[in-house]
Amino acid sequence: MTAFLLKRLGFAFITFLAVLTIVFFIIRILPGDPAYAILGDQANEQALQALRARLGLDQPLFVQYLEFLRGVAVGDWGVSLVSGRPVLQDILEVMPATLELTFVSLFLGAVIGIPVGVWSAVRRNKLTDYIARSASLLGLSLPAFVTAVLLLLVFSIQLRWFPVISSGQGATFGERLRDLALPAINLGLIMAAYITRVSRSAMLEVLNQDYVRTAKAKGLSFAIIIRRHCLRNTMIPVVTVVGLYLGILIGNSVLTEIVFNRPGLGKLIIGSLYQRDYPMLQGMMVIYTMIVVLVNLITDLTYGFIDPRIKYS
Amino acid sequence: MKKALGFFLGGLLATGSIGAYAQTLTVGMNTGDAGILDPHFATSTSDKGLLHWMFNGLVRIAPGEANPAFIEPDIATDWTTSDDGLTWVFSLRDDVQCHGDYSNLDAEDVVFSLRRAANPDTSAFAGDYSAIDSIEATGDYEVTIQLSHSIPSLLGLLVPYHGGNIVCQDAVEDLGDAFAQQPVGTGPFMFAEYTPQQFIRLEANPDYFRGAPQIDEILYRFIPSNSTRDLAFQSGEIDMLIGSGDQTWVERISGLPNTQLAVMRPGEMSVIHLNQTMPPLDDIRVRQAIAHAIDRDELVQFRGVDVTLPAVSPVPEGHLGHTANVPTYEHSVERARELLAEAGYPDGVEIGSIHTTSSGMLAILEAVQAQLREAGIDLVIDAVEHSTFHEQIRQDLSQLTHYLAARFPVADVYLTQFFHSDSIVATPTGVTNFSHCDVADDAITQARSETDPERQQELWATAQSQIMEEVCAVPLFQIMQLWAWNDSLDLGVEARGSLNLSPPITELTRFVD
Repeated sequence: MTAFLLKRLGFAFITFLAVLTIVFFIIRILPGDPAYAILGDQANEQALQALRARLGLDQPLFVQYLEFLRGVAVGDWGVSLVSGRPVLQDILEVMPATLELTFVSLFLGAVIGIPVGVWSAVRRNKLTDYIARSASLLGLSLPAFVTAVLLLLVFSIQLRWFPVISSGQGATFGERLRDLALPAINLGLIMAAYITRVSRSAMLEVLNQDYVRTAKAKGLSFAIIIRRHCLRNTMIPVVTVVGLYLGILIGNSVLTEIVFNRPGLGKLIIGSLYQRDYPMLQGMMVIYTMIVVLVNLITDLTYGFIDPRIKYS
Repeated sequence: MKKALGFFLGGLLATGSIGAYAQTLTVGMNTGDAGILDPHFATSTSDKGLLHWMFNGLVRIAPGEANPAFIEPDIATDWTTSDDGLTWVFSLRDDVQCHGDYSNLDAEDVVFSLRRAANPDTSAFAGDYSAIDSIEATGDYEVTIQLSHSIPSLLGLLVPYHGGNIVCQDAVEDLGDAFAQQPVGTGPFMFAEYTPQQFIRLEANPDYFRGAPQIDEILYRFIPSNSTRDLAFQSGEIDMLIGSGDQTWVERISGLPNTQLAVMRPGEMSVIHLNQTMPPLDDIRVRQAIAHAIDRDELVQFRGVDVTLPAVSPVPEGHLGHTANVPTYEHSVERARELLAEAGYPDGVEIGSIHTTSSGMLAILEAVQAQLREAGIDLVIDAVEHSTFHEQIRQDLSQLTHYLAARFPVADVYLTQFFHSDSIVATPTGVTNFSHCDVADDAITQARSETDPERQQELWATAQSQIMEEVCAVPLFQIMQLWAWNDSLDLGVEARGSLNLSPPITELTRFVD
């Protein structure tokens, strides 16, 4: 187990370094000039050059790269070119909001998606199956920003149950929950649609296995067969998909964050991309890479708990 | 179970309250977060709009106006100028208090602030102050400014717009880099709190020299999504919002109950610049053909009559020095075709334009493209990402450039930045002269140092005529600033214009029943 962990951590480090290197150079290949973004369109070339020099953007690319790696290693991620605030401080201030939204959405997605998917498989080609499949297809087809606006129109404007601005800054638990409700439902339903389809197909595969037929022949009740023999085996592909999707979900939260006006990493990365805020973009990439690498590691470790036959070596 | 769920939902819905407190003005701004809040660096609409309510200048344009003709005292009570217009002496108020625990503002602060604005290391607007030779405190509350040569409007540089915002020396030195995140001014509202991606809260300044504001605080919310901002206004969560700038927004927001709509100047000027160094635009007949082929009235109808103002001169209407008495080119497809034939293009001509994919701007150029096609002019639009657009047009790569800009409303600024040869793109002093226009250099330069206002106006008018005669550009229209607020809010002045791109919220602003 320890050897497996060390090996995986080693791979994670290499992945991490490779991604940072690629991101560093891609950001600089992007057209657009941070000096221009800061000074605006009335600045002349001399003023732009002076600012580039002050920001260190006139240094050779390799020097900038080494400085970037040194900064990542020692925790000095620089300051935002636009606001002048420390990058790490800005990221850490909004990251909890994104993680909160992501994990609550994931929880909602799992709570809805797994039972519906299982039930849909069990009732294959019956009315409930058709309804579940159609609903999940609809959930996957509708863009997040469309469902977000629909939710706002119904629950914030017509019914006035929830605020339009989900600031996530409520003082009490109740207020925070109220702020979180619509964005989490929005992302959670999309997640549920995805998990429903994966759970259904995984369950269908398990239901055709010999051991299920044996269990049936033994005279076990259908509920016990599902609970004891099928569910756990269905979870392997579901966990894989959830693990993969978690990274995507954090990225996809951007639209939800913008429409519901929640703080978060998605809003931060969009703003820094428009402004060509190199240090902020780099900082965001470090964080995203860390999250994805970590989630993949946790997913791999989870397999062993679900299926004891899987050994780490 | 049902009972428990009902209790949970009831408790959930009962928490918090939708809507603002009575004396909190909540404003919805169309950006995701605050940028740089140092007034000597801030350029974005969002940042400038906020700083507008926190700072003063030596003079100001009367709240609700945008024309320099309305300049009035602010921190300065009065001023004198020498006969040659080079020496200016300003007497200052002695009751101006810097926000928070910082001290009374005196001449030393003003000198520090203006020198800071003129220093390229501490200001993005240093170039505006290049004509200033010296700034000295000649008394506790007296400042003398010496110019090296006369400029069109020194007072224009001293309004709280760019470098004219007066900062307090102690605060800048004390806060260092943090000043850009928690600015300290002397205006009616002072910085209180910043929550990333959510809001900035300003508190009323009880020591404001014109009297304490009547509203307690301003919550400046960052809401980048247009639809969310509109819905938040509709639900009463915000009291004031910036518009999304199109006719449908005006019609939709005007239909909401208790809503006050404001269309303010200065607008963003939409202009087609024609690069005279690139064939076939080096032939004036082709440029004239383009001017004749464009139907400005139709474009105004397309963009929205409530949000646009037709433009005939390269200097926007409402700017000091504007004249409408310039050569014009009536819409005539036949005349355009004749001119093209005379220029040797009887079968039409192809012209390229690098343009941003930004939908609002692109829609305008696509409408122009359709009009030009009728006259046999095939406009090929190379749509690129917004930053790339700015980069490439400054590298002098586009034959035809469509540009939107708002500037300080004095003719010299537009004329210099867009039509003086010093500003030709891809040169060290280049700014935004995309057409390589140089026919009005003499008039622009002379007007800059002309001390007689009438003569100065004549020179600016000459420059505008020369530019239109040469067809360096085809002005289309101004797109006005759009705002709306709940009509329970009384601004205290009529909002006809705003130099700083946000409504005039002052000590007079209050909520009424």
